[in-house]
Amino acid sequence: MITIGMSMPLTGTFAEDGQMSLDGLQLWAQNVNASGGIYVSSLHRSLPVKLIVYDDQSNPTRVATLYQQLVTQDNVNFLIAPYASPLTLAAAPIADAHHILLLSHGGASDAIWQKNYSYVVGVLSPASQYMIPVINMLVNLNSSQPLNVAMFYGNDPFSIFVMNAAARYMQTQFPGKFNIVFNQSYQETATDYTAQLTQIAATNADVILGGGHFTDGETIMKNIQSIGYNPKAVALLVAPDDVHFYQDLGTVANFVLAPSQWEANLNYAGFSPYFGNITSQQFATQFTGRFNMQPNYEAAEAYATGLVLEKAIIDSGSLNSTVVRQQLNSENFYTFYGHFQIAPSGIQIGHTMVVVQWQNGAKQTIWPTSVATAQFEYPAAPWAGRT
Amino acid sequence: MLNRAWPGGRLYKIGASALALALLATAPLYFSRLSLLFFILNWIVLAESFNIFTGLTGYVNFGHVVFYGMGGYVGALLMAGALASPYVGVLAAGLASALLALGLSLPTLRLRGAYFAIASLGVNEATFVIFDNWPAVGSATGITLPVVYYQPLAQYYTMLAVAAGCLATAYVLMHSRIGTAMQAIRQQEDTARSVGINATYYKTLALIFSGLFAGMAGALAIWQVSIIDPPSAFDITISLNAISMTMLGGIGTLAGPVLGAVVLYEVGDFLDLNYPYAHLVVLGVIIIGVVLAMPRGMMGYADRVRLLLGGGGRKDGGGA
Repeated sequence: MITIGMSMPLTGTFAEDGQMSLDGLQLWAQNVNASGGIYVSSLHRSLPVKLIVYDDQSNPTRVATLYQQLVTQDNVNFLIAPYASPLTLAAAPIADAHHILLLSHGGASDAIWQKNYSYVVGVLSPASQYMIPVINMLVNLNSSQPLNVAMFYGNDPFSIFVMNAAARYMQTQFPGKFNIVFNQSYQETATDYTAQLTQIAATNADVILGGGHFTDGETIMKNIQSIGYNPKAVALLVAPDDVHFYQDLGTVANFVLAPSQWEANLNYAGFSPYFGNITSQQFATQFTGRFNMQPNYEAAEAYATGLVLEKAIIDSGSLNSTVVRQQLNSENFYTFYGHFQIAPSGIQIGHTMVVVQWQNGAKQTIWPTSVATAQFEYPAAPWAGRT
Repeated sequence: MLNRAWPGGRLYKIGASALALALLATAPLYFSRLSLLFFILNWIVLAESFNIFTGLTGYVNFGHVVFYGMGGYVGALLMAGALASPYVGVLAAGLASALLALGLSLPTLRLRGAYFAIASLGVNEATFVIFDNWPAVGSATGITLPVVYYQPLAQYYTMLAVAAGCLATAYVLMHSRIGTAMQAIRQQEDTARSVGINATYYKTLALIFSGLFAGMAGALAIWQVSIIDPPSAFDITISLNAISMTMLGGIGTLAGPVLGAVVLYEVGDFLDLNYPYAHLVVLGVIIIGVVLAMPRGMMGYADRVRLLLGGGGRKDGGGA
């Protein structure tokens, strides 16, 4: 038996994505055990996996005491981090002090890997990477004039980190290509942003980059339409990636962009042998069949985290965290979720974000072009012409 | 604590306290999940410091978590900036929260009863918004501590020392003229004033001690979890938990908040470990059941049992 311990935010602020992540991991464990377990060559046999799960109530102090329980009482072989950065940051020192591998699937903050932990490994792209593909795609438009960019984003750690990294990237990598004409955060609990959006419209911004979470993202789009402002592109975090975005907004959702860790129509198998014997489509179908809902990328990255652990155990032939952690340094492979490769700090550098755009009611992957299902529609059609 | 029916009671209590302290002091030798004990002690301090103000004066402070969060931030800033050792950080956090209590008492303690309770809620929300938008304290991102501050043993013993200090302070307050004056305010503030008790002074004093220990608990919690951000630092459920623990154990008594914190946290932890998908529902049912069975808390219930067995009641039990 290979025991894998974790706490998940099953109640409280992060409950929805915590449950999604847990569902993804449980589907992985079920598939592994159905296929006879994981082969551990040092023991000359395959072992089934067992997940030990507690509810941390989205509370960092609960995380601290539950991970000590997992390590000292449950004696787990490996740890998986809770969903969300603050909770991952609370679990990391305990894993590190006890030399147990901690895999992060839902903690995107770069701060996790800036503290010199030896046992913390990320499977997902860190926050600093979220807007990078959107910027690359805009540069690829080759416009003769610099693009006027308005940055308008939620006042939460994740969004702030993403947008600061985006601003740095635009200025250092593409000097002269972008003018940042507006840069402000907003309270995500507000119900109206027309005042700020009117200011943005007055700056003649071509592109709005920003957003935060779900409700504020929808409100921004409704407000943009209501003041009749026609930016050429709007890229928002989180909200447009959710299927409800189009259900709620209808044609207002069209042309809106979002960075995404994973999409159900992604197929990486074509450009590398991939691990886990499951495609994105198969994952989505199995997930929907078992849990009766569409998986989002939080579910996919959790499943992929199971695959990463599985491959490192098989390749190292060991259940020793130090050996498996060492093995992860040299791993370089694709799962349905994408590329896996880490820097020595444990931060993910192989996986890349994709960009999605709502086009006529369908969420299409438009960047990078190697996995695109449609072309980037730019500029957005004027409001007057939309039905 | 006078107890006529039980002459050996006082000796028994001193013995029990010494035994508990000895067991806790040697816990690292035989118990590996120190963080569980750490957080039980943390909650004992939160509940007892809430009790020092609300239990003694009768003013319900829904903003108790403000002291905890403020202490957490002061401790985090000092430690993350390597400006002070964690011990100095914890002490400074307590003093900062005590100072905050003094500052807050000026406008809020002019209010009586429900108006004070409402104002304390407002203070909580205002503090959250300030920290959430204040770049010097990391605004919404908060502060994370470097890994060198992961020191489980030092954290545990400091927590134990602060808890012992908090209980000793509460004991002294409850058994001194100061405590008597505070209880007079709780029972009849106007009468207390009319016999020359400076009600504002005693209420402020109680709030300062309340803030001092809650602030130290906040810094200790941050030392342990290594990250602080506004939603977790100023989470109103922390105030509500401290209130529940105090009420469950018996408000206004020394042992009540201790019992309440131990039982509520330990039962909550046990349920989470064994029923992670339904633990809050079960805990809720248990709390409702206990409140119905013991409206005056566990200490009040113990008194009733003692009375039924033919003994005397407590001198300072129950209340509010």
